[in-house]
Amino acid sequence: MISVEYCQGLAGYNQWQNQSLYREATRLSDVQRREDCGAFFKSIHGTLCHILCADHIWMHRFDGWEMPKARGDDSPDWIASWDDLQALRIASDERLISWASGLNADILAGNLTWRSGGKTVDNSAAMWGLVVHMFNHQTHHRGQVHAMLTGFDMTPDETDIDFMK
Amino acid sequence: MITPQYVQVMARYNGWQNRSLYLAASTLDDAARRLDRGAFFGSIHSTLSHILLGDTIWMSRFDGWEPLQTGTPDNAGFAPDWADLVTRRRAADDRIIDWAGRVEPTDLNGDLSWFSGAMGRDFTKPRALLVSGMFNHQTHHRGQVHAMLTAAGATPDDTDLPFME
Repeated sequence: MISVEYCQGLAGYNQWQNQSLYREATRLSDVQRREDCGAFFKSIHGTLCHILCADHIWMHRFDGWEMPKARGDDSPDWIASWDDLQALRIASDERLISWASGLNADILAGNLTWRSGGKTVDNSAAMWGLVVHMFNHQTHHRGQVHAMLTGFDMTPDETDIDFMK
Repeated sequence: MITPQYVQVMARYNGWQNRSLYLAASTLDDAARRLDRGAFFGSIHSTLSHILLGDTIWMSRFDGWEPLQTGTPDNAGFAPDWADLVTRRRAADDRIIDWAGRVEPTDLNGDLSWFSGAMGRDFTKPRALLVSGMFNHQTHHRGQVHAMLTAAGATPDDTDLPFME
């Protein structure tokens, strides 16, 4: 189990890290951001887009956000324009912080039931575990983006949670 | 902020993901594992060694693991031999799971104070932040390793927490 404070901390960390990675990615050309670097979702743009799409899918279930049109396989192509991707990331990070501040222990202690796209049966799992997953999923894929950015000699900020201001 | 149950889930996730990445890395040759691919710590080997170093330092503060000796080499130098790194990683993962099974709620509350050799001064931070920070640090750097592995043609396992058996 996790507390509301944990969620607030990770929502703040998410925003900080996205600000850092998007700032550095903006220094690259669009061609570089779309270059296939061999990551699971190939490019910096594709991987960042996948993270945002997954966040919106989970936040649809957690907080009623609009479900993205794209799902798993097409998630890297959900938003084609860099400016649009960055603008939605900035707005989404604010919404994540706002959602975290409105959580309570009962919500986190409960179960969430949802249906994945294309499936005919419902899934059900502990809400807190899914919230941990969403934040861990962000960090995992941001790690891939970080490796691609440094591969282009970009310099993202610190990544350790305990260095967060 | 976090409970022993959270720690147990993340300890299992850590073990699962390390088995996956080390298995994938073992399909590469030593030169491929040591090739500087432009990640923050350069190579697959160096990044994996850095994660083990970080875990060892944090676990010395959380669970009384033997602290590093002054002058211990960092990153790639911490575990320069691949077979030795694999062995030490497995042992550390078992110890982290063992700790997770013993950790008490009170171990996760309040502040922890320590002297950082790297920073040369004392720090005091909430234990929950530091424990979740250790798991986040693992996931972040494993993300970098994941990107390097797929770029090298290796195929790690799933990474999503809900898919953990």
